[in-house]
Amino acid sequence: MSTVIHYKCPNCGADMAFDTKSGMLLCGSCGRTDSIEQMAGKDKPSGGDYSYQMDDEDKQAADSGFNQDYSDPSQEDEPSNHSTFGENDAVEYHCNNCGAVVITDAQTTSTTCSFCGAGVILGDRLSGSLAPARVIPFTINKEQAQEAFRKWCKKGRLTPNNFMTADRIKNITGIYVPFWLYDLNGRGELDATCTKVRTYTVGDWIYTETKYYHVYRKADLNYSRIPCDASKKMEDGMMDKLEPYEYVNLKDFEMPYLAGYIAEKYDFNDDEMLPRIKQRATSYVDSYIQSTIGAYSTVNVNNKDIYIRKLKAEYTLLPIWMVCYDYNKSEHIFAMNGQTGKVVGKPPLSVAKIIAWLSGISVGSFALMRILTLLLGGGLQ
Amino acid sequence: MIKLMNKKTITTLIILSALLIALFIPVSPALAAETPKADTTTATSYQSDQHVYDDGGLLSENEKLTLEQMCLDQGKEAGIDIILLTIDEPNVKNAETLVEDFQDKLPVADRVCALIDMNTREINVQAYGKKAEAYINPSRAQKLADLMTPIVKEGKYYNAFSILIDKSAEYMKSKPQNIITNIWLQLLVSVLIGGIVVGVMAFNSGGKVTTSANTYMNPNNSGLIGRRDDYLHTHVTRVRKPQNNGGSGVSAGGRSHSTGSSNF
Repeated sequence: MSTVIHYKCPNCGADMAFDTKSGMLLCGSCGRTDSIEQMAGKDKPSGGDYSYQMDDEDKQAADSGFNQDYSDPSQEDEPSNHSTFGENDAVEYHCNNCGAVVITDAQTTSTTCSFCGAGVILGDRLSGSLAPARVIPFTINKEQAQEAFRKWCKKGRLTPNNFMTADRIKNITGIYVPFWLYDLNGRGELDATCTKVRTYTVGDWIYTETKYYHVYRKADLNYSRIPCDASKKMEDGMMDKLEPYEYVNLKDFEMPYLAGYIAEKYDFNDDEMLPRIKQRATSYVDSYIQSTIGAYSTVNVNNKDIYIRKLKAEYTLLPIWMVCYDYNKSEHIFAMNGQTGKVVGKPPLSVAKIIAWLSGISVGSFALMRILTLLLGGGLQ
Repeated sequence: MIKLMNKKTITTLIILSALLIALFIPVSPALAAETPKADTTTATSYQSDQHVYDDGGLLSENEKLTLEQMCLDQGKEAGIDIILLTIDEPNVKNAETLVEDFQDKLPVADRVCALIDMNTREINVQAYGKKAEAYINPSRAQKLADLMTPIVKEGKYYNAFSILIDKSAEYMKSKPQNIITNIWLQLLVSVLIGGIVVGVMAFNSGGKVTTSANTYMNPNNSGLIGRRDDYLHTHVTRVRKPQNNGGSGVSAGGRSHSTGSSNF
């Protein structure tokens, strides 16, 4: 089965693409707009809606906390309801417009026909276990992305001047990158010996009074929609820096959102990405508990237990502009949050500017120290 | 825009450099003019006077004469007045006030004053005058007192005083180096600061993580469900106050000085 989906304008038959301004499908030829819901109704993929109902029988009081228990005592991760997808690399897709073979990666779910330029959505790669639950549509279009990128280049304090003109954007591609949005429950228990130290003077003696406390904290924390990049191609560190996304624009997935953009399917399922996200949530819980300890002079942790549990994982497509930039015969890749315009990626650094800043700051702080020296009575040379 | 950025960095550099250079120009001559005045006018008028006041009777006539000559010669060379006092009287005020009161009777000058008090068994060294106070600062005054202590203990008062004269004259030749005001150290620290700042700038040039532990937390159903702070016990230790010997003070006559003292 190979389903290729095109969105044709009902008026003039031209290809329609998602428009960031109106949030609707727009016909480039006659300017007709159609709402996503209306267009989706025609080609709704099979399957798709996944919810993760918790098993009531599984709810057992697993922890006997000391004064109040976790709101949900279950210890286990909630199971994923989708099967891992089967490889269907061999399937050939043909453009409905011109009949040419649509050249795609095994991961691609939406692309443009390299012959006629029409937006092509590969429906079977977006159905069943591969159907995304949610999507954040692009709110920054290509022109705005280019403009935002240029602005960002100019802001770089250490980037070479001829890079800052940003006139060598090789290509800029809007990609819906597959993410898992995890809802997690984090529990933490901490047991520490803390001290409060006070010093005072009586007569000729200086007294140091150390009061010892046994400190116990137990936290039940819930996190929602922590994103985790599920694509092999995208560098994890880069994707983490693109956060945060504004979830008010989180929509139920409909295929027309992808029209005119590239989209990929996930390489790793939610269970495979779970260790990475648990590690991240562990540090969150840890810093929360530490922040509740309060005003002690010293904190000596005796015992710390943090447990992270998956409640839900939603397959979500997040909008990212990938910018390829040629500079000094090498290619630099930048990523831009397609919703907020935040740019990440390593720009080239100018040696001249680094030296200028280094000497400027060094001379400045040296001058400041000399002023202080002179003011503090070191006056006699 | 390109030119603008360039100009901006260069102007910042120029302004900062100019500021640094400007620092040293007006300050140094002003200070240089101030110090010799004190040396020449007041100190010279006092030079004919006595330097050794052996009320305690610890020195022989010969020793007194030699010390008097040493005070004169070395003091002149170092640009200070050196006064040696001894006392052995019960029921006198403490050593520090004694030296201060003695000082107030003398004309203002750069002066080092050392007292051996046989009654309280204390050595007190004080430095007066802007230059002497800066060069023989509290820590150096304390060093002088400490240097004399073991020798005074053996009863070699003459030797103790002659060491004081030598060492004071030596101290007047070089300014005490405060590690914080050391110009090379400051230079090193400045370059380090610059390096760290630029390093952070370079590290963050590729964008940084702006989410925190609170970004994804639901405040409604998250929080502490257990919290206990149990007092266990108190542990008290005490140490004797360190005896603060080296320091600064002001005499009854309003003259500031640095002091070092030590018991033998």
